[in-house]
Order: sequence, then structure tokens, then C-alpha cells
Amino acid sequence: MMETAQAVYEILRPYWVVWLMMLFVGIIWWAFRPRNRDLERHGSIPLNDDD
Amino acid sequence: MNQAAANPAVAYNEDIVKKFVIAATFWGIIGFLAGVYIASQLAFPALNLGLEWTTFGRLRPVHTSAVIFAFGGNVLLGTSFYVVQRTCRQTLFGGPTFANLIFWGYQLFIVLAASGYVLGITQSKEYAEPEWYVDLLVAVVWVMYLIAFAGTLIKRRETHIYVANWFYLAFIITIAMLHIVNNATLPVVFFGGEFTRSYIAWAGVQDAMTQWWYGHNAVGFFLTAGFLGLMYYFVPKQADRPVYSYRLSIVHFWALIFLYIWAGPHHLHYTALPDWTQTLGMTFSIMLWMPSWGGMINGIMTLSGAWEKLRTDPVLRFMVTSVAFYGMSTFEGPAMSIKAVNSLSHYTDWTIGHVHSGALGWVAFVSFGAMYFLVPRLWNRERLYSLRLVSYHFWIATIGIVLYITAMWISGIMQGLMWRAYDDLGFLQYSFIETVEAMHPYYVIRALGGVLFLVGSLFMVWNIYKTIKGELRHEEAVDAAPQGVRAGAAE
Amino acid sequence: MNHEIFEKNVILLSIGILITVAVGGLVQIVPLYTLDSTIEKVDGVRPYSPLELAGRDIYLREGCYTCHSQMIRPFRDEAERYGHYSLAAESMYDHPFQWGSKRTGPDLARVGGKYSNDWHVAHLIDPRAVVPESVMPMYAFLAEKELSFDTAAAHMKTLRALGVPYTDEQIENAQADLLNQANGDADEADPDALLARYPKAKIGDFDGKPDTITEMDALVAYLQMLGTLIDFTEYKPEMDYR
Repeated sequence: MMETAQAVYEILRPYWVVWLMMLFVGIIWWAFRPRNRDLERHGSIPLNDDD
Repeated sequence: MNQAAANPAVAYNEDIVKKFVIAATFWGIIGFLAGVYIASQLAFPALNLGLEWTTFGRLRPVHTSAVIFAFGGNVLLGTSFYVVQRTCRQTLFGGPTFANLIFWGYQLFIVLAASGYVLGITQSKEYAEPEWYVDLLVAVVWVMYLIAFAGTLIKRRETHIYVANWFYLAFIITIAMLHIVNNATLPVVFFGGEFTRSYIAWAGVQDAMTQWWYGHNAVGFFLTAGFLGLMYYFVPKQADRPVYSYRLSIVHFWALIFLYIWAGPHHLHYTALPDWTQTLGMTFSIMLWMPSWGGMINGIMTLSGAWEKLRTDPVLRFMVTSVAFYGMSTFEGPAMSIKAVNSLSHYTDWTIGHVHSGALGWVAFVSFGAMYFLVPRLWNRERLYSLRLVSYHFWIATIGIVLYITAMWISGIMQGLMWRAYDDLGFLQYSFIETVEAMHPYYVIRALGGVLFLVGSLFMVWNIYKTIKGELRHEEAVDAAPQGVRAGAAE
Repeated sequence: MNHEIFEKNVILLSIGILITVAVGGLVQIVPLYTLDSTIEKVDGVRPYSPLELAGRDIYLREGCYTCHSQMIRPFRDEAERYGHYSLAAESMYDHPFQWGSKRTGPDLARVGGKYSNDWHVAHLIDPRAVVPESVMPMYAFLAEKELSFDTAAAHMKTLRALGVPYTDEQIENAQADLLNQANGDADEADPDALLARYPKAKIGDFDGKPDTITEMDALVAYLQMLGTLIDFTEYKPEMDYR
């Protein structure tokens, strides 16, 4: 089990920039996916002030 | 916001915000003055006066602490209390006495720290110089601050926590973590020694890593995340438009706080810190460029469709220019974290110039913008005493910054190149002292830049004073469009 | 999962923040304590003698780190200007480290033995009397201030509690060793005992005032030992894992 994990790790490790990039793109997608368009209305919270 | 509409009359604690604004103004002047003085000492060493209390070594921490923790800290505490109340539609948690304790406790910390440096009481860890008993005071005040801030968030009448508050919260939590770990000291008084001295628990290479984990994130969370909280509230308010992209701010927030904390080792390139740590620090510093510019775009594009306001509203100009400086220094920073560049820039004035493009251009400018926004509102004045003075302040300070950072670019790169220059015979071309001598004209220019920045801030003091007194300077509107800072709200 | 849960719950948001910001420090700092390769295995590095430690405290108090580094990088020009690049082992007993971040003045990691005691004293009293172009402050007051060293043992005990391997013998003899090192020419001096406890310690009346031990004595004693403990003719780079 440990050997397999070690082997997989050795194969994946050199491409760590790729994995980080995928993670980053994934987060962007997650934040900007269509159902989140509704979040934009929270941007007006400061403007709804009384004064 | 629905509940708020039904319950508009919240009694905000604005008295505490007023106190912090006045304290920030006061400490700002002290900090800028100290900066001008120590800059002049480097150009004219006789200004060290031969006294033990006035050497560069003792006054430099006075300058850094005064501008970062006294000026910057009072701005952050004050604005966060303003923003959290407004965006939660709730009065400050803990009540006025608790808030006043936070205020006076924080001022006591500043006075104890600064007077200690002059008397030679220091841990001599950069940006963490206060000794153990002052550190304990800070820790207590900080926990009280967290209680007041987070308590207000919990008691909010708005369903959502606005993005500015995420940044303020991350700033408060992370600074607490950094402060505790980097100030883990053992006082010698426990072993029969003097009261005012302690030794840090960490040593050598581990202490170096801990120190710059702290030091870089004092920049990342005190001077960046906290002030991004200002940006996300005051830029939309002053422009009277919602933030450009709320979803971008989500990415901005999480990516920024995750990546920043790794960047510390770029202060230790080519040192005895293990290579793997240096490589991690460099990699994350470069990646940090992305969320930083995401945030910059979010701030600047908030003005899209309202660019003409930049021409007519000098307060907004302060804020937007600050975001532009933020973009510039967060581009320069990743570049300097590349080991090949760092081998030249490290130990030179280039680093000092980089810090000041961030500190003067970003932190101070966004603070000035927020203070100009707040003063007429807090003291219930129609507008600022004079928008012309704001405009003069802007231009004088901008010229000061340009002089400062160009002088430091030239002196830093020149000194770095001189250190590594060889002559035809294969000997080092310059002795160290020749490189010091070559710095002199740039140190004079830098000090002049600092003087201009200080003069500009004195315009602000005068303007704030007159505004609080309730006077209005009769003046033609800037470019004939708005009547004042608050004109935007009239639409 | 939706981001709204963070935006509506302060506790969740705080926990999320804490986890996010804790990762970097854990990954970068903790292994420096667990990996053996972090600090090179070399001979010669020892804790500071009481006088050197007092001098180091003055170095800290005056904020020398604001202008001087103690970290030589592995470049040709730095090796020629300052000497062998600095090892992590050389600052393993430094609480706090003094690697610095700015060289308004030169690196001091190996300044020990490069100049005479007289040069250091003259330079500290008035830097421009020795180096006209210098921008360093004047530290003449150090020569006037008597060193307070009643608490030397307390400082060493504190450091021992933090992991610096001071022996009982070293702590018991703190006062005697300090007097000994600063009054090298005095009759009652016993340099052998001092050198047995602190090999390579520089002994002498550093400031030219044999009657008193001043802060100048302590600071110069510290400067004169900087970077001198490791014999680099014996040092093999393969001992260095970096």
C-alpha cells in the first residue's frame, strides 16, 4: 500500500505546477459558475446605507 | 438588508471611529517625521547627534512601528469599526467602554513600544521589536479587538457578511497567530535578570524562517489584507457603485490569504535557509501576483462607467491611485522574489524603495482617501473644508513618492552592481565604502521625497482640523462638476 | 458546496481562514526542526562567553541589524569581500538570529580578527575619524558606560532553558569568566580556565581602559569573535547538505 502511494507520488510530483494551476482554475470555475451570478447583489451592501 | 430597511435607526458607535481617525492623523505625522529624520541621517550622519537615544539604529524602529502599527493600525482599527457597523447594520459589540479600552490599550502599546526603542529596550526582531511585556499587552488588546469585531458580525442584521469584513477578519486572526509565534520569548527576569529583557525561543535558521514568516505577513495581512478591507468598502462608497465583481472578490480573498503566508522565505534567498524552503517561498511569491492583480482589477474596475469622477473628485483619486500603486508593487514584489533578481536586489535600497511604493503609494493613499471620506461624515459636516487642499495633498505626496522610489531604484541597483563589479585584473572593482559614498546623492533625493510626503500630510491635518471645526472654504468646484465629496450620493 | 455558508457564519469563516493561513507556516517551519540536514554538522561552534553575550546584547540594543547583515551568500564577490559563505550552524545558538536584511554598512558575519581592537574602538567612537565617507552613527557613549553584568548568569540560564547547552560550570563562573576575558592583562587573570570553557575566546583589555569594564569592551569582544569559531581549512562542502 505504502509502496503504491509512494510510486504514485513520484509520478505526480514533477507536475506540481500543473496540479496547482488546475486547482486555481477549478476555484475560479467554482466561484464564477452560473448559479453564483446571484451573489453579485451582495456587492451593493455598503450602498444600501442610510446616509 | 431586508431587515435593515425595516429598522433603519441603528445607533452606531461613531465616537470610537472619531478617536481612531484623530490618533491615526497624529501618529501619521510622527511616523512620517521620524522617517524623514532617519532618511536625513543616512545622507548627513552628523544628525545622529552622538547621543545614544538618537542613533539611526534606535530611531529606525520608531519610524517603522509608528507608520505601520501606529498610523496603519489606528486606520485599520478605526475603519474596521466603521465598516463592520455599517455593513452589519448593528452597533459595535461590547459597548462604548469596551471600545474605549481597546483604543487606549492600543495607544499605550504604541507609547510603550516607541519610548522603549529610544531607551534601548528591544527584541531586535524586525517589525517585532517590542519586548515581552508590551507583546502581552498587544495580545490582550488584540483579543478584545477580535471580540468587538467578530461579536458585531455575529449580531449583524444583514444576512450576508460583506467582503470587506472577510479581509478585516483574516487580518485580525492571522496577525494574532503571527504575533504569538514570533514573540514566544522567555524573560530573563524569571531567572533573576532585569525586567526589560527576554530571549526568543527560536534560534538561528529556525528563528530566521519564523521571523520572515511573520515579517512578510505583517506586510501581507496588516498592510495588505486589512487595507483591502478598506478598498472593498470605501472605493465603492466614494464611487457610489458596487464592487466590480463580487465573485472575483471571493477568489481574490481565498487565493490571497492562502498564498501570502508562504512567501516569507524570499527574504532569505541564498542564505543558510535550506534550498527547498527558498524554492517554496519563491514559487508562492510568484503565484501571488495573480490574486494581487485580481484584487487590483476589482478595485479599479469598480469605476468602470464613472471614470470622469477621477477628474473631479480628488478623494476618489487618492483611492484609485492607491490601488494602482498596489498593482505596481505587487508586480515588483514577485519579480524581486525570483532568486536571480534577488541576488542583486537583496541587502540594497531597492528593497526599501519597493516597500515604500507599497507603504506610501498603497497603504497611506488608501488611508488618506478613507480619512477624507470619514471626517465630514463622522463630524456631520456638509463636506470637507477644502477639496482644493485634498488635490494639493495628492499632487505633493505623489511627487514625493516618485522621487523616493526612483532614488531607491537607482541607488539599490547601482549598489548591487558595484558590489559584484570586477576590474580587468579580476579584482573587486569597488571597496564597500566606495559604494556607500556613491549613495549620497540618492539619499538626499530620497529625504526630499519624504519631506514632500510629510508636507502633503500636513495639508491633510489642516483640512481635517478645519472640517471638524465646521468651516467651509469657499472655492470654485474642481472642474465645475461636483459640490463636494458627498455629491455622489445625490444622484 | 456553496460559498454562502462562509458568508453567513462567522465561526465557519474564521475556522476557514485559520486553516488556510496555518498551512504555509506549518509546512515551512516545522520541518526545519525535524530534518537533520537543516543545520550542518561542523566542529567549533560554541555558546557565547559571558562577555561576548553581553556584547551581543549591546549589538541588539543598538539595532545594528538595521544596517549590518551577518549572512554571507555563496557568491564569488561576497566570498572575496567577506569570506566563506555563512553556515546555518554558525547561528544555531543565536536567540534571536541577526542575519539582517540591509547592508547600509558591510556584512559582519566574519568581521572577527579583521581589524585590531584599537581600530574598532576608534571606529565606534567616531566612524568618520577612521573612514571619512562612513554614515555610521557615533557610539562614543559605549566607552563611557560601565558594563552592567550582575545578571550575566541569569541571561545564560534563560538561554539554557531555551536549548543553548551552557554547563553548570559555565554558569557558576559567569562573573569570573567575564572579568577574566575583559581584564586579560590583570594579575589575577586565568586565561586557561576561560579558554577551556570557551575555546578561541579573544582575551584582552579591549577599550584601552584597564580600570573599568565598559560596554565598549563587551561589544568589541563580540565583534572580534564573529565568524572565527569554525576552521574552514577543515571544512568540506560535502558536510553541507544544502
